[in-house]
Amino acid sequence: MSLLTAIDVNASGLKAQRQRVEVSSANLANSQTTRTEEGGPYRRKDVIFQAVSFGNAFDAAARGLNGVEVIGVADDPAEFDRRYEPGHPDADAEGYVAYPNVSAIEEMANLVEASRSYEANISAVNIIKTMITRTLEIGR
Amino acid sequence: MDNQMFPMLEGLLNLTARRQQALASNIANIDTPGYKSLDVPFQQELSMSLRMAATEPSHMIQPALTAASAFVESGGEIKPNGNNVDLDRQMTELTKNGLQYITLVQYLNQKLRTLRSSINEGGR
Repeated sequence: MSLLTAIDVNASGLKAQRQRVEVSSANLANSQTTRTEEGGPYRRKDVIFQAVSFGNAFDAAARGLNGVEVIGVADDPAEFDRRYEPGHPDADAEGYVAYPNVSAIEEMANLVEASRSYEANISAVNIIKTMITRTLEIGR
Repeated sequence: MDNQMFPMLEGLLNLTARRQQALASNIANIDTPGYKSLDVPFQQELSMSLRMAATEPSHMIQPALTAASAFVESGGEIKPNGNNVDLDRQMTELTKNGLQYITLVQYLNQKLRTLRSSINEGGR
């Protein structure tokens, strides 16, 4: 049923936006982390969205329909924030500490945008739900 | 009763559901770089089938076939990331399309009620 496929498409949007929020939260949580398993300070992460086709052999009508998927999480190549803190245990020879390249403002903006997009998908699912409910009432 | 009415309504319902898929796809890809918004050319599909119906009445059932009608790219301002989905426009279209579907269902139900009362009351 084509309307159920439309719900699946929006579900893919919900999933992708939630992953984005998770990554953004991790960035915020680690905005002051100077030590990581890979060594060095925490590097800001970003999700990569890609449109994925929903078409399959069983549902010809879904051909050309695109959902969304997070195909990967990439490191932000921007430089670390160097601050002069000679007393810090991770300070280099010159007394500078490399802090993560995370900007709280940028992450907050990202989180707001993600939650708006999430809400848009929820609204779409609700509209489709109403449409399906009405369809079931045909002929009653 | 016009026997073309039910196939016609069925076709319109299919077309509306098809359009909802396109709009759902646009909402899901609101932040996907390079994504271009999709739409179903509803009016073209409808006016084409109406024009065909004008020349040949049996063509009125044409919209029933458009449940798998092709998606076309719909215009919109392209953002720096190559995406042209306009959230406000998509949300209003989504609401309008949903209401249109409900209206069609309502109308179909009314037709069925009329038909049922013709059947039931006729023999009295």
